[in-house]
Amino acid sequence: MKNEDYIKRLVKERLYAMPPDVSFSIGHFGDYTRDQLIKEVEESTEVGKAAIEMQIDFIRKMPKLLSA
Amino acid sequence: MIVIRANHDIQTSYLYQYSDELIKEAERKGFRVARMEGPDISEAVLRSRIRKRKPRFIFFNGHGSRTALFDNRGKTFINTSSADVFADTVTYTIACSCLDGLGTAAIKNDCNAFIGYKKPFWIARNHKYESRPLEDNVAKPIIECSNVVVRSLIKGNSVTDAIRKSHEKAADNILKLIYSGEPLASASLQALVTNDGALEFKGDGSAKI
Repeated sequence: MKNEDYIKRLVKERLYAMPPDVSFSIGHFGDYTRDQLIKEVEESTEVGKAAIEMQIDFIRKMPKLLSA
Repeated sequence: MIVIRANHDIQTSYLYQYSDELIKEAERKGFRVARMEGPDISEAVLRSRIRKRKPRFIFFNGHGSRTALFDNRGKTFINTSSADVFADTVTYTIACSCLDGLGTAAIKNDCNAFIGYKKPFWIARNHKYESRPLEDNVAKPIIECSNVVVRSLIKGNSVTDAIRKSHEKAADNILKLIYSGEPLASASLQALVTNDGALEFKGDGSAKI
């Protein structure tokens, strides 16, 4: 599995772990339900890339947040 | 102070409703608050208000990009070429990504300090509360932290202190969310961590309003 595919799968799994009644408003990109966001990640759209960046950023920061 | 508030989609309606309390608080502290909303959100109206009122603080709630702020129809009304409107003010924009491009242009044009986000601004929501944003406990801890900047500035704190207070509030909310049993807490947490990491300023950190 390519690195990019692995990251996409990781992000999608993390989004699937959230309840379906969550939505995200992402500035001028608009509003997305959990499942719409997963689709954007799958299709590597601009919004999907923003979601990947957000998740990866979060994963990197998480250890620091827990030790705060 | 001038408060510019778009309100034409879900995200802007959330920011709009959560900013009502900030306006009341500013008025209680003696600020004369000029509101720009709906079709009033334009470069011409903003320039006219600035000429008449000479505000020390401009607060924008709405959509933006790296180089622009958008009006109530989602069209650019201020960009890097018109960033001189922010001269002699502290400006805070709750909008996506405009710190680096628009913020830099504002500072080059004598803005005292420009506070904003260098990445997209995320709001996690429970879509059952779309029509009642103030009751949405998923969005609340996120917007609360971005609003701390305004609360702190109107109390007389400097830009650096206002941002520090917002980071402190975010750290408190992050800890609460990490240990929360609420199923949607992880969505709030991720949005809050992202926004908090993207909040910065350009210009003079000791500036006050």
